Amino acid sequence: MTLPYEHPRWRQVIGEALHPGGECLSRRLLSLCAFPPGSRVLDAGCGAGATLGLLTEGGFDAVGLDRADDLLLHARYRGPVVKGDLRQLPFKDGSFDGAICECVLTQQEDLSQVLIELARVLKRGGVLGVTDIFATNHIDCGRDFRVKDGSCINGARPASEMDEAFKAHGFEIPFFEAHPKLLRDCTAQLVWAGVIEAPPKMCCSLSYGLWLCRKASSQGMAEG
Amino acid sequence: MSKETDINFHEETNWRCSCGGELTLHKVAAHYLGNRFEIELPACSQCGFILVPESLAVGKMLEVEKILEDK
Amino acid sequence: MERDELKGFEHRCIQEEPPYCQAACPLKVDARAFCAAMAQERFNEARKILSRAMPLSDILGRICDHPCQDACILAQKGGAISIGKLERACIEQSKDPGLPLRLPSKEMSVAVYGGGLSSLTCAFELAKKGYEVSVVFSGEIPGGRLLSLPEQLLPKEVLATAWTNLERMGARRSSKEDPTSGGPQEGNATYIGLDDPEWSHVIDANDVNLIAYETPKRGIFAGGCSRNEKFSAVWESTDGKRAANSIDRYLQGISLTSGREKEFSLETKLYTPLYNVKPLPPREDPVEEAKRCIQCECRYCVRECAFLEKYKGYPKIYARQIYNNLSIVKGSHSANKMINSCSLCGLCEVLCPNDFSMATLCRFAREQMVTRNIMPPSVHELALLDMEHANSPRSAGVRTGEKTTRALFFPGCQLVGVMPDQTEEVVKHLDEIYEGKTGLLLGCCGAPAWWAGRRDKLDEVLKKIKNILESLGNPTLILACSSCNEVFKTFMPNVSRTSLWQVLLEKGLPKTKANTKTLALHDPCTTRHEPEWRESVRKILQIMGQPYEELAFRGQTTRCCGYGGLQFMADQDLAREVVSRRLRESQNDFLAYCAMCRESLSGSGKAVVHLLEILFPSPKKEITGFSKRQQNRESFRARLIGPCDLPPESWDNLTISVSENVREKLEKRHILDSDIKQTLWSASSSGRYLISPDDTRLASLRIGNVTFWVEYRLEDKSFMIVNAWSHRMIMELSS
Repeated sequence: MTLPYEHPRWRQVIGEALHPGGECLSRRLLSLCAFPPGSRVLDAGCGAGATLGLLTEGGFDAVGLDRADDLLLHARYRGPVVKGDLRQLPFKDGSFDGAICECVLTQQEDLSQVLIELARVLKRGGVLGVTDIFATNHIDCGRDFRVKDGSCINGARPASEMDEAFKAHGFEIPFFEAHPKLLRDCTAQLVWAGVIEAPPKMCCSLSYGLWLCRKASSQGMAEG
Repeated sequence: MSKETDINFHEETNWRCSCGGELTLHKVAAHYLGNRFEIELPACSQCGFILVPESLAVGKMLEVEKILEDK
Repeated sequence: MERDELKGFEHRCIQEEPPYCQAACPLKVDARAFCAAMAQERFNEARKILSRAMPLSDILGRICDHPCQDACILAQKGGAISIGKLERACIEQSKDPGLPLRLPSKEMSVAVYGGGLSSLTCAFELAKKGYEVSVVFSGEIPGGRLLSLPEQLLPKEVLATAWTNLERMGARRSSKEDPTSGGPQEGNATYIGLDDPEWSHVIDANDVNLIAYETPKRGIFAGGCSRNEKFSAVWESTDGKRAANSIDRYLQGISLTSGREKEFSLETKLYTPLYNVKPLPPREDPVEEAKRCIQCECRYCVRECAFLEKYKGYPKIYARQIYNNLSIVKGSHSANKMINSCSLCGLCEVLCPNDFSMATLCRFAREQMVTRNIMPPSVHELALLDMEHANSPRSAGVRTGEKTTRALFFPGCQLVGVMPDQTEEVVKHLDEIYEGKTGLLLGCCGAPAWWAGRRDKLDEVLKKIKNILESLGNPTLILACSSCNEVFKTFMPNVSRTSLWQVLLEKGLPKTKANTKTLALHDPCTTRHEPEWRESVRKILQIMGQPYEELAFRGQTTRCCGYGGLQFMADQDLAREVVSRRLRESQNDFLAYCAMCRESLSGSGKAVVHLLEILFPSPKKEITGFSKRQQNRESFRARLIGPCDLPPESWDNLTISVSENVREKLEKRHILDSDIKQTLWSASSSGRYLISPDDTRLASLRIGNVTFWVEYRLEDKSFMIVNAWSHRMIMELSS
């Protein structure tokens, strides 16, 4: 099954980075993560490899992981890649100093399992940088906003749910910022190109968030 | 036709320009609130008059304008 | 309004307050949810709801003295819901929900004296928390005073089962002699249930502190006392539960009372309107009786407002959303449409027992959105351009009174635009009354700017008006529009003002025949707090002999027509719904005394007439649109004050012809005649346009933030408009 963002036109419309904010936001995420030089960093859900490339160029010991064969075909030119499943990362415990997840978590139905794995492969104190769509102003209207080919939007969770999920899996959240305009601009380009339909007006609304998460404890669950 | 919308405006090239030029499809950019959108529209090869057809203006353009304004 | 005030607004909304039944219950049983489950015959679910609050539902459910039922507000409407009966029925028809999870053993013990309900409850709660509980009572089964209740009310078997369950939770029997004698007890704390006659004399009930359940002796707690000289099963259970909480805190070494206010409160701030509840008598069958429960909530404002209903929430939630919308960090501005859709009419504030005002909230939010540059540019644009037009030299102006200008008639921009003939008749009539030319001020009061959150534009407008008034010696304003009145009342309260209706009443009405049909009288929302305005209008109608019908929502509780707050610009569908709801309130045709109410309510199948059309009849007129209103203002100004000194625009003399269909399209797309004329003029002078094979032409011009396109055909001396559209995007060639 091809996911919408694996479609070649998607890439052409919003750029190689495949997510709102493009390379510019990726650079911001990396600068906020401030991985020490030479860190071993995992790009979890590396897609076509744009950020993997930034990491490799930045002198980090980077690895990209994704499950989409045709995207990995592009990504392998940007750095070392591994085909795999986020729910069962093929890496040892604590083998990474840092990780990033750009517009990936909304694609996961089993968020908990993915966070367990990310926490597992990170060293204690390791930073996980996340950018993703989230829902704001969420009344209990049921996640009823189906958009043609818009699986990214369907997976959007309320910000509070994201925060709780991170905390429940042993992460502290020292930093967060919202970029609603980036999501709007990205949506506008996709609608213009006819790749998706204009989202219907809904009682929940969407924004694009950037989280810095730090693995606080070596257990799976945070204390207290 | 990578970033462009997929509607074809070829029928609209029946208009003649008052300057005498013919209308042919040209690559054109539309700007709004800091965003740029690409499309091919009929334009006069001589004086550069760009035609924005009704279907585009009240259709896709309006949709996208609303998204950008967050209306 | 300050940010903190904004947050405080949230607390005014009482929708989330507990219902009366739950508040009155010392155990906080959710009787509302219980009735809902019973009404659907979900007896096990209903039992679970009881068990959540009642530790021993098997016992208490049968014998509870139901303060919830006593608090039920349906007592005023046919009779309180027989919750007691429903509970008994539930116990009989549901499965025991099973024992709760026991926490790991705390290795501390408590001695519980007595076999009454308070002791059993206390033992249950403490066992649940992991304490080693030993219970002291005589006989095979516990019960205390409950043992003397009739078998069919409380079978002995139920008490036996209760003890078996307690044993399964780790409680043991013990045989202490006197809990109060001697030194430290075997347990670390002691509870004495005074509802067991065997132990009721050990402690004087007056010595028991009914907040913390302490007695004068350290480590000894007691409860189960009678209340108001009567035994109450629910209070015995409550005592046991609260005392267990106290003992738990005591043994953990923390404060016995801090943070427990909610546990003890029996109040609720909830308000439930009952005006449309039919009184029905209590039903025999428990399920039918449960269906009679009205599921108390407030939502008073939501029920009566299409806007509040549309967003499927209630004011508390909206206040939070609006706060988030303005928040820099988490905001995503999706509440923009909601914030712009409120008509600012003030009905919710009147209905709400705590005066929650969406209008205040939304006005503040809109101003913030403008300041922070997140207000969508196009939503109010046309109304603001219209206001500018009404204040431009072609439409605005002053005419001084013949003798002195003690009074200045300010008809407002909409009245002149919608009904220029009637307005002219009013001026003539005033001239007669005042025996000489009346002072006249034409322009817009700035209300659209206020509604759109543009305080800067509003201030500009008001400053100009202030200067004019000062230069004329501060005359009294005669206002025809209640929205203008609201603006002046709020921002220039020192300006002396009166209503046109008041003046007509005092000085004389024109001689006219009234309509014989009864008309439903619609008060504009801006007369909500202006009883004088409303009274004057009614007096006029009475004098004229015009029969009128008072609507259910009138005066202080009148409804907006959809124009207020520029609602119709933010959400046309909502405004249409608002109009149709209003019109449904009566079979009759409607009578309005605000020009925009008249326009807004028209065209939906009912005739709507303005009071001035009765006072100064003239041939029937159609609904105007933005274009016609602008033209009317310009010609009115020229007629009454004289042509302005500005030279006419080059395109003014262009003649265009527009068919009805095309006119509809233009209004819907917010394209004015002046936009069209300007575009045609520009095409003609620049010679730049497109021509089709059948000689139709297409011209384009960017005016302000919009590019207009006009498709037309040349006729003799005029332009026939075939079609027109517009867009905001700016185009340029790529290569």
